[in-house]
Amino acid sequence: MDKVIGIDLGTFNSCVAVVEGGTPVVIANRGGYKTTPSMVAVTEAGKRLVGHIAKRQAVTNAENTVYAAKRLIGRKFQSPQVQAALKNAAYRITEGPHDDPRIQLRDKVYSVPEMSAMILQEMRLIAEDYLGSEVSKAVITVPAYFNDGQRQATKDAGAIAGLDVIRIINEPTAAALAYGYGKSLDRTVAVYDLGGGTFDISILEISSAGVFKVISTAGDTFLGGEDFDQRVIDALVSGFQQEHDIDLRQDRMALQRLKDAAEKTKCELSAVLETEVNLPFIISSARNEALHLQRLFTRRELEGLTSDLVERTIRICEQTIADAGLEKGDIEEVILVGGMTRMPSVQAAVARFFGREPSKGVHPDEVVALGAAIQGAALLDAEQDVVLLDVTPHTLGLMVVGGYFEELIPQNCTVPTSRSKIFTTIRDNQTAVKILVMQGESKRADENELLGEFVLTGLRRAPAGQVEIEVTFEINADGIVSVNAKDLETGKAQSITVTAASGLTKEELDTMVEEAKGYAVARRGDETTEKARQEVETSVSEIQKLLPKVEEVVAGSDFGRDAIEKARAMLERARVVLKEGDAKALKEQHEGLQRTLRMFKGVVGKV
Amino acid sequence: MGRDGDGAEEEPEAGLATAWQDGRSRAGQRVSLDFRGAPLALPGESTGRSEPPPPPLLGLPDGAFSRPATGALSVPPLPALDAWSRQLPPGTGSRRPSSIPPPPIFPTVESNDALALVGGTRLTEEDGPPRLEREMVERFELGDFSGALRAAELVLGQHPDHAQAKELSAACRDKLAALYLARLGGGQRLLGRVIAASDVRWLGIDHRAGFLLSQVGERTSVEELLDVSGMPRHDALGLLAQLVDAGALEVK
Repeated sequence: MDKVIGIDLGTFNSCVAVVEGGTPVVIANRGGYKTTPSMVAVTEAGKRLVGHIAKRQAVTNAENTVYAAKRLIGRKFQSPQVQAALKNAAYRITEGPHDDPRIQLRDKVYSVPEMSAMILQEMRLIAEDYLGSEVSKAVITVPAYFNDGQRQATKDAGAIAGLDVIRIINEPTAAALAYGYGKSLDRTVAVYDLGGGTFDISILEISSAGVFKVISTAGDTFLGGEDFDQRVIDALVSGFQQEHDIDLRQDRMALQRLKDAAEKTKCELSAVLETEVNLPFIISSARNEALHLQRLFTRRELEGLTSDLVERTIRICEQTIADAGLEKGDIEEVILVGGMTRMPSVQAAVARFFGREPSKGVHPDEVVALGAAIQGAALLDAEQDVVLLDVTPHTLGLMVVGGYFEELIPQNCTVPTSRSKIFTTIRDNQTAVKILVMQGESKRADENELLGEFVLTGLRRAPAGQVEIEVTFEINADGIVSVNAKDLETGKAQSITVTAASGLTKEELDTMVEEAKGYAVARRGDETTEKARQEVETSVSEIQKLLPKVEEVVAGSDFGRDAIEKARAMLERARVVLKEGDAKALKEQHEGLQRTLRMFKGVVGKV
Repeated sequence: MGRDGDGAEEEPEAGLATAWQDGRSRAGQRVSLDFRGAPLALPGESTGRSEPPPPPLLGLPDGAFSRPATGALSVPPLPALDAWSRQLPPGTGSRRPSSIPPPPIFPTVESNDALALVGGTRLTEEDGPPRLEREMVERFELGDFSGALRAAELVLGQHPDHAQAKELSAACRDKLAALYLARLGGGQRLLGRVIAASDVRWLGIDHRAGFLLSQVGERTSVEELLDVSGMPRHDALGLLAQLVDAGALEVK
């Protein structure tokens, strides 16, 4: 049976998990890390770098390194978030043909789903390496506040990466799913998610019947571990400037090292009370004198530098609980998600606010991917009865006279759902009405997002306010919105299904899928060559080690001399093939070398 | 130049080395000094002696790769050197003793550039492109690619569109990159740090080499380091080769 992988596609880090033998497990990448930075870069030589290696050169190659693409996915170029990114991002964001943001790396322009696809493709390859077979199905998580367009763009990213995205689920839902897996619980839980670049708080109800319901969610898309690191960097830079009158931020290599060191320092201070930052040869002075950065950093100092950031998360928690119509005391469990929640001061602030210690039963970096994997396995196995009840992330409604927004399905309403409302005409003898389907929280329609529109015609001629039209909004389990308008007297009806658009056309998507396939094949090819090269190198080395011994053994007789000469010739050929680097030739050479090695081992073994 | 005799009427002067005439100190007795070193000179005053030779440059001397530029590229095995470019006996490693602060392994700005050292003269206003052009071509033909590159860059500094200098500098970079890469054993070779964090300070490296060293993890290949370096390929490879020579890195 096909395996379904669960992918936590994070703003700064991603994680992949799978259910094996009924147990969800997180898959480590080749470097042994269970999370992979959501970063993509293109080097001067045109080579694509994804994950840790992209992160390690993020400062020295800033204009060609993309991070936090998730903040842009599914958004319009003119949206405030994209405009903010334009000012802050070191990489170049341009306007695409469909009013969507595009990213330029070196001489090529990519769509945002393409960038996310590169990360998803990496996660897929990690899973395939682990499972030893191809993976084609995935459940991907997104923030609970993502709208239809953002969800569809994430699905498109999955498709470009060669994945059939069988479900998109909310991150807090996935976390709660992993938390409640195998337990029989009836609880109201808060999921406090402080990741690398974003903060989210969600309140959920978990029922023993296996129902997970998000009742409220909020967050800050520009608050996360990166801000904490920046405070450490600022402190280090300031100290160095006082001592040497040099601003380390002006040197890219120094800044890259500072960033790495700041993150390391922050992580270490979660376990120890003080740590040393030691960066020898951080910069050279104007007199070509090498300067070193060395200083002690304490947990107390870090907490002092970041207390306002922690406080910001608590204020958002307060607001979210109020929005859910709950009291702090109603929260029966707090689940911590995201690497930043390992910081003792964050844990303490959460415990203080909620009046209870947060749950220690789940791994903050892995819990979302584990939940996605659980959901994936449940969708494939009909016998499992895990039911997810998600909520609408935004209010759905339509535009009415005066440019106002009339709500039909409120925010945080459990899906699937259906709501109807009666509207009337505003003019005498009005025979048609235009239904503008919108999404958002503003009372003014033009401040909300237009999802679709249609016209209901053939209304009977009557004075204003006498023709009644029933408008019904329906959202199915996959989040697809259908709107129906019916003249109650004539029964004449018109409807629309709102199809989320990611900003890519079918043709563009198909081209991107093909290009991504080509990359995957080329990369697998490189890996095969590298593996064959290593095998040949190992065999050559072993044969060379055994050769003197074998020569000694056969020295006394004519027997075996030919074999030694042949082995020498084979070693010579192997060296040539190694230089050429052709995968097929390497494989053939390896087989011959293995035969020789077996023979040599046999000869030496007998002695 | 020492002052002999009893020197009873003379005031003692400071010297590089002193010796009691009779080997003992006597209270209230004047002493004379025996100078054994060079005379001291005031700033700007000539000592009448030739300047001491410049300290040897460490790392990759230009001559290390000197060979004709034509024909197939082949790199003869280089002798094992320690961090001070002293040849090591066969079978010994190239680790630097950590207790002694060594001289810098890279030329400093004060040491002037390679051309000035070779020619024995300082570059002057008259040293214009014609001389440099000749120099870059000659050096390239001799296989001194780093010298040729330096000359080409100086020409390009004055004439940014100089076609020959552009072509030659690109060729030099490629040649140097290939040579350094061969010394490191290829792009897929793994590099490992063999120097303790506390001893890194004692390496005479610059901040670019310090950056590269900081990027070496448990399993880092040469190619990965090139990808993260943010430097021109031949520069990064040159620094890596020098770090290996200095005993800071090992090729696994």
